[in-house]
Amino acid sequence: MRMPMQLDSVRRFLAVGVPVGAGVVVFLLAQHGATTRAFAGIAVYAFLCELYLFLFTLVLSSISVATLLRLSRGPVPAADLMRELEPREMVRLRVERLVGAGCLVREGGRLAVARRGRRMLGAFGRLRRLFGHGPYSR
Amino acid sequence: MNLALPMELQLFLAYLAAHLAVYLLLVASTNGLRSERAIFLFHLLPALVSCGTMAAWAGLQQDAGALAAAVLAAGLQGVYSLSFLEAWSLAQGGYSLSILAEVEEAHRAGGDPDFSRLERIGSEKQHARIRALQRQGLVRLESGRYLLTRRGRNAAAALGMLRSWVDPAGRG
Repeated sequence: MRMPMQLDSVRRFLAVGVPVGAGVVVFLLAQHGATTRAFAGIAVYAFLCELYLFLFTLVLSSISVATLLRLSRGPVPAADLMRELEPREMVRLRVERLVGAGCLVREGGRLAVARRGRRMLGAFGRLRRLFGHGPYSR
Repeated sequence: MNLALPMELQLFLAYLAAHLAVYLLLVASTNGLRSERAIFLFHLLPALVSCGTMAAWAGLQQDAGALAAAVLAAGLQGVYSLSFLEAWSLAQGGYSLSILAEVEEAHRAGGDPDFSRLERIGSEKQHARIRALQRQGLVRLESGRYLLTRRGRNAAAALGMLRSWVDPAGRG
Protein backbone atom coordinates (compact mmCIF):
# COMPACT_ATOMS: atom_id res chain seq x y z
CA MET A 1 0.00 0.00 0.00
CA ARG A 2 1.43 3.34 -0.97
CA MET A 3 0.61 6.76 0.39
CA PRO A 4 0.42 9.63 -2.05
CA MET A 5 0.38 11.77 1.11
CA GLN A 6 4.18 11.51 1.08
CA LEU A 7 3.94 14.07 -1.73
CA ASP A 8 4.31 16.86 0.83
CA SER A 9 7.65 15.48 1.94
CA VAL A 10 8.64 14.90 -1.67
CA ARG A 11 7.80 18.52 -2.45
CA ARG A 12 10.06 19.63 0.41
CA PHE A 13 12.90 17.60 -1.04
CA LEU A 14 12.30 18.95 -4.53
CA ALA A 15 12.30 22.51 -3.19
CA VAL A 16 15.97 21.95 -2.36
CA GLY A 17 16.91 19.34 -4.93
CA VAL A 18 15.71 21.22 -8.00
CA PRO A 19 17.71 24.43 -7.35
CA VAL A 20 20.77 22.39 -6.45
CA GLY A 21 20.27 20.33 -9.60
CA ALA A 22 20.01 23.48 -11.68
CA GLY A 23 23.30 24.60 -10.16
CA VAL A 24 24.89 21.25 -10.99
CA VAL A 25 23.69 21.50 -14.59
CA VAL A 26 25.01 25.04 -15.01
CA PHE A 27 28.35 24.14 -13.41
CA LEU A 28 28.93 20.99 -15.46
CA LEU A 29 27.92 22.57 -18.75
CA ALA A 30 30.15 25.57 -18.03
CA GLN A 31 33.09 23.29 -17.13
CA HIS A 32 32.76 20.65 -19.83
CA GLY A 33 30.35 22.01 -22.40
CA ALA A 34 27.52 19.90 -23.81
CA THR A 35 29.58 16.72 -23.69
CA THR A 36 29.04 13.16 -22.58
CA ARG A 37 31.06 13.89 -19.45
CA ALA A 38 28.76 16.76 -18.43
CA PHE A 39 25.62 14.74 -19.04
CA ALA A 40 27.11 11.81 -17.14
CA GLY A 41 27.45 14.05 -14.09
CA ILE A 42 23.90 15.34 -14.52
CA ALA A 43 22.55 11.81 -14.90
CA VAL A 44 24.36 10.68 -11.74
CA TYR A 45 22.88 13.59 -9.76
CA ALA A 46 19.41 12.86 -11.12
CA PHE A 47 19.81 9.17 -10.23
CA LEU A 48 20.91 9.95 -6.68
CA CYS A 49 17.87 12.21 -6.23
CA GLU A 50 15.58 9.50 -7.55
CA LEU A 51 17.22 6.94 -5.28
CA TYR A 52 16.71 9.18 -2.27
CA LEU A 53 13.00 9.66 -3.14
CA PHE A 54 12.60 5.93 -3.73
CA LEU A 55 14.13 5.03 -0.36
CA PHE A 56 12.23 7.84 1.34
CA THR A 57 8.82 6.63 0.15
CA LEU A 58 9.76 3.00 0.76
CA VAL A 59 10.85 3.54 4.32
CA LEU A 60 7.99 5.83 5.27
CA SER A 61 5.06 4.14 3.56
CA SER A 62 5.87 0.45 3.63
CA ILE A 63 3.74 -1.56 6.06
CA SER A 64 6.43 -4.25 6.18
CA VAL A 65 9.08 -1.71 7.13
CA ALA A 66 6.79 -0.22 9.78
CA THR A 67 6.15 -3.70 11.19
CA LEU A 68 9.85 -4.53 11.37
CA LEU A 69 10.62 -1.23 13.10
CA ARG A 70 7.74 -1.78 15.51
CA LEU A 71 9.03 -5.24 16.40
CA SER A 72 12.56 -3.93 16.80
CA ARG A 73 11.32 -2.26 19.99
CA GLY A 74 10.45 -5.69 21.39
CA PRO A 75 8.12 -8.67 20.88
CA VAL A 76 4.47 -7.83 20.43
CA PRO A 77 1.52 -10.11 21.19
CA ALA A 78 -0.03 -11.19 17.89
CA ALA A 79 -3.44 -9.76 18.80
CA ASP A 80 -1.89 -6.39 19.73
CA LEU A 81 0.05 -6.15 16.48
CA MET A 82 -3.10 -6.85 14.48
CA ARG A 83 -4.93 -4.23 16.53
CA GLU A 84 -2.20 -1.63 15.89
CA LEU A 85 -2.53 -2.31 12.19
CA GLU A 86 -6.33 -2.16 12.54
CA PRO A 87 -7.73 -1.53 9.03
CA ARG A 88 -10.70 0.50 10.24
CA GLU A 89 -8.35 2.84 12.08
CA MET A 90 -6.05 3.02 9.07
CA VAL A 91 -8.95 3.95 6.80
CA ARG A 92 -10.11 6.57 9.33
CA LEU A 93 -6.60 8.03 9.53
CA ARG A 94 -6.29 8.11 5.76
CA VAL A 95 -9.63 9.88 5.43
CA GLU A 96 -8.49 12.50 7.94
CA ARG A 97 -5.21 12.97 6.08
CA LEU A 98 -7.05 13.31 2.79
CA VAL A 99 -9.32 15.94 4.34
CA GLY A 100 -6.25 17.70 5.75
CA ALA A 101 -4.54 17.60 2.36
CA GLY A 102 -7.59 19.12 0.67
CA CYS A 103 -8.41 16.02 -1.38
CA LEU A 104 -11.64 15.37 0.48
CA VAL A 105 -14.12 17.82 1.97
CA ARG A 106 -16.97 17.43 4.37
CA GLU A 107 -20.23 18.83 3.04
CA GLY A 108 -23.09 18.70 5.50
CA GLY A 109 -21.51 15.76 7.31
CA ARG A 110 -20.90 13.88 4.08
CA LEU A 111 -17.59 13.27 2.42
CA ALA A 112 -17.02 14.54 -1.09
CA VAL A 113 -13.97 14.56 -3.35
CA ALA A 114 -12.49 18.03 -3.65
CA ARG A 115 -11.10 19.42 -6.88
CA ARG A 116 -7.58 18.44 -5.82
CA GLY A 117 -8.72 14.89 -5.15
CA ARG A 118 -10.49 14.76 -8.48
CA ARG A 119 -7.29 15.85 -10.23
CA MET A 120 -5.43 13.08 -8.40
CA LEU A 121 -8.01 10.50 -9.44
CA GLY A 122 -7.81 11.69 -13.03
CA ALA A 123 -4.03 11.69 -13.18
CA PHE A 124 -3.63 8.35 -11.43
CA GLY A 125 -6.45 6.89 -13.50
CA ARG A 126 -4.53 7.70 -16.68
CA LEU A 127 -1.36 6.29 -15.13
CA ARG A 128 -3.20 3.09 -14.16
CA ARG A 129 -4.45 2.62 -17.71
CA LEU A 130 -0.95 3.22 -19.08
CA PHE A 131 0.59 0.62 -16.77
CA GLY A 132 -2.24 -1.85 -17.34
CA HIS A 133 -3.46 -1.92 -13.75
CA GLY A 134 -7.04 -2.99 -13.25
CA PRO A 135 -9.74 -0.80 -11.66
CA TYR A 136 -9.25 0.35 -8.07
CA SER A 137 -9.93 -2.37 -5.48
CA ARG A 138 -13.67 -2.93 -5.95
CA MET B 1 24.80 21.41 -29.15
CA ASN B 2 28.15 19.74 -29.66
CA LEU B 3 27.25 16.30 -28.35
CA ALA B 4 28.56 13.39 -30.40
CA LEU B 5 27.18 10.27 -28.75
CA PRO B 6 29.24 7.12 -29.15
CA MET B 7 27.44 4.41 -31.11
CA GLU B 8 27.35 2.25 -27.97
CA LEU B 9 25.48 4.98 -26.09
CA GLN B 10 23.02 5.40 -28.96
CA LEU B 11 22.37 1.67 -28.83
CA PHE B 12 21.88 1.93 -25.08
CA LEU B 13 19.28 4.67 -25.51
CA ALA B 14 17.55 2.55 -28.14
CA TYR B 15 17.53 -0.35 -25.68
CA LEU B 16 15.82 1.83 -23.03
CA ALA B 17 13.17 2.87 -25.54
CA ALA B 18 12.67 -0.76 -26.60
CA HIS B 19 12.40 -1.87 -22.95
CA LEU B 20 9.61 0.65 -22.35
CA ALA B 21 7.89 -0.36 -25.59
CA VAL B 22 8.01 -4.04 -24.56
CA TYR B 23 6.29 -3.18 -21.31
CA LEU B 24 3.56 -1.06 -22.90
CA LEU B 25 2.88 -3.50 -25.73
CA LEU B 26 3.32 -6.80 -23.93
CA VAL B 27 3.86 -6.81 -20.19
CA ALA B 28 1.07 -4.36 -19.32
CA SER B 29 -1.50 -6.73 -20.80
CA THR B 30 -0.08 -9.92 -19.24
CA ASN B 31 -1.67 -10.75 -15.89
CA GLY B 32 1.16 -12.92 -14.64
CA LEU B 33 3.70 -10.13 -15.07
CA ARG B 34 1.90 -7.45 -13.09
CA SER B 35 3.21 -8.32 -9.66
CA GLU B 36 5.76 -6.15 -7.86
CA ARG B 37 8.33 -8.91 -8.01
CA ALA B 38 7.87 -9.47 -11.75
CA ILE B 39 8.14 -5.77 -12.56
CA PHE B 40 11.19 -5.40 -10.33
CA LEU B 41 12.93 -8.31 -12.12
CA PHE B 42 11.79 -6.93 -15.47
CA HIS B 43 13.96 -3.92 -14.66
CA LEU B 44 16.74 -5.41 -12.56
CA LEU B 45 17.88 -8.22 -14.87
CA PRO B 46 18.17 -6.19 -18.10
CA ALA B 47 19.72 -3.31 -16.13
CA LEU B 48 22.46 -5.58 -14.78
CA VAL B 49 23.16 -6.93 -18.27
CA SER B 50 23.11 -3.56 -20.02
CA CYS B 51 25.18 -1.69 -17.44
CA GLY B 52 27.56 -4.61 -17.15
CA THR B 53 27.99 -4.57 -20.93
CA MET B 54 28.65 -0.82 -20.98
CA ALA B 55 31.14 -1.16 -18.12
CA ALA B 56 32.96 -3.97 -19.91
CA TRP B 57 33.05 -1.93 -23.12
CA ALA B 58 34.45 1.10 -21.24
CA GLY B 59 37.04 -1.15 -19.59
CA LEU B 60 38.18 -2.43 -23.00
CA GLN B 61 38.36 1.09 -24.47
CA GLN B 62 40.41 2.42 -21.53
CA ASP B 63 39.33 5.88 -22.55
CA ALA B 64 37.91 8.74 -20.47
CA GLY B 65 35.16 9.34 -23.02
CA ALA B 66 34.09 5.69 -22.89
CA LEU B 67 34.04 5.82 -19.09
CA ALA B 68 31.86 8.93 -19.19
CA ALA B 69 29.51 7.16 -21.62
CA ALA B 70 29.30 4.12 -19.31
CA VAL B 71 28.56 6.36 -16.31
CA LEU B 72 25.94 8.24 -18.34
CA ALA B 73 24.35 4.94 -19.34
CA ALA B 74 24.24 3.75 -15.72
CA GLY B 75 22.75 7.05 -14.60
CA LEU B 76 20.10 6.97 -17.33
CA GLN B 77 19.26 3.35 -16.51
CA GLY B 78 18.90 4.22 -12.85
CA VAL B 79 16.69 7.25 -13.53
CA TYR B 80 14.54 5.31 -16.02
CA SER B 81 14.07 2.23 -13.82
CA LEU B 82 13.47 4.09 -10.57
CA SER B 83 11.06 6.53 -12.24
CA PHE B 84 9.22 3.64 -13.84
CA LEU B 85 9.01 1.59 -10.63
CA GLU B 86 7.90 4.58 -8.58
CA ALA B 87 5.26 5.56 -11.15
CA TRP B 88 4.12 1.94 -11.45
CA SER B 89 3.79 1.65 -7.71
CA LEU B 90 1.97 4.95 -7.35
CA ALA B 91 -0.39 4.03 -10.19
CA GLN B 92 -1.15 0.77 -8.42
CA GLY B 93 -2.66 3.00 -5.84
CA GLY B 94 -3.59 1.97 -2.37
CA TYR B 95 -5.82 3.11 0.42
CA SER B 96 -5.78 6.82 -0.42
CA LEU B 97 -6.75 6.47 -4.05
CA SER B 98 -9.23 3.68 -3.32
CA ILE B 99 -10.83 5.90 -0.67
CA LEU B 100 -11.09 8.80 -3.12
CA ALA B 101 -12.60 6.50 -5.75
CA GLU B 102 -15.06 5.08 -3.21
CA VAL B 103 -16.15 8.54 -2.02
CA GLU B 104 -16.56 9.78 -5.60
CA GLU B 105 -18.63 6.74 -6.55
CA ALA B 106 -20.82 7.08 -3.46
CA HIS B 107 -21.26 10.82 -4.00
CA ARG B 108 -22.46 10.23 -7.58
CA ALA B 109 -24.89 7.58 -6.35
CA GLY B 110 -26.11 9.95 -3.66
CA GLY B 111 -25.14 7.63 -0.83
CA ASP B 112 -22.46 7.23 1.81
CA PRO B 113 -19.13 5.60 1.00
CA ASP B 114 -18.76 2.00 2.12
CA PHE B 115 -15.28 1.55 3.51
CA SER B 116 -15.94 -1.94 4.85
CA ARG B 117 -14.63 -3.51 1.67
CA LEU B 118 -11.43 -1.46 1.93
CA GLU B 119 -11.13 -2.48 5.58
CA ARG B 120 -11.46 -6.14 4.59
CA ILE B 121 -8.84 -5.72 1.88
CA GLY B 122 -6.61 -3.88 4.33
CA SER B 123 -6.96 -6.63 6.89
CA GLU B 124 -6.09 -9.29 4.32
CA LYS B 125 -3.05 -7.29 3.26
CA GLN B 126 -1.85 -6.86 6.84
CA HIS B 127 -1.99 -10.60 7.40
CA ALA B 128 -0.32 -11.23 4.05
CA ARG B 129 2.54 -8.86 4.95
CA ILE B 130 3.14 -10.54 8.30
CA ARG B 131 3.12 -13.97 6.63
CA ALA B 132 5.55 -12.70 3.99
CA LEU B 133 7.90 -11.43 6.72
CA GLN B 134 7.71 -14.85 8.37
CA ARG B 135 8.44 -16.60 5.06
CA GLN B 136 11.44 -14.34 4.53
CA GLY B 137 12.77 -15.39 7.92
CA LEU B 138 12.60 -11.88 9.38
CA VAL B 139 9.79 -12.46 11.87
CA ARG B 140 8.68 -15.47 13.85
CA LEU B 141 5.68 -16.26 16.00
CA GLU B 142 6.51 -17.65 19.42
CA SER B 143 4.09 -18.30 22.26
CA GLY B 144 1.50 -15.99 20.69
CA ARG B 145 3.98 -13.13 20.19
CA TYR B 146 5.63 -11.82 17.08
CA LEU B 147 9.34 -11.16 17.39
CA LEU B 148 12.24 -10.49 15.08
CA THR B 149 14.69 -13.17 14.13
CA ARG B 150 18.38 -12.33 14.04
CA ARG B 151 18.02 -11.58 10.35
CA GLY B 152 15.00 -9.43 11.12
CA ARG B 153 16.93 -7.48 13.75
CA ASN B 154 19.68 -6.75 11.23
CA ALA B 155 17.13 -5.67 8.64
CA ALA B 156 15.31 -3.48 11.17
CA ALA B 157 18.58 -1.88 12.25
CA ALA B 158 19.48 -1.03 8.64
CA LEU B 159 15.98 0.26 7.95
CA GLY B 160 16.02 2.31 11.14
CA MET B 161 19.26 3.98 10.09
CA LEU B 162 17.83 4.60 6.65
CA ARG B 163 14.68 6.06 8.12
CA SER B 164 16.57 8.40 10.41
CA TRP B 165 18.64 9.52 7.44
CA VAL B 166 15.76 10.24 5.06
CA ASP B 167 13.45 11.63 7.71
CA PRO B 168 15.50 12.84 10.68
CA ALA B 169 12.66 14.94 12.06
CA GLY B 170 10.23 12.03 11.79
CA ARG B 171 7.75 14.17 9.94
CA GLY B 172 6.99 11.66 7.21
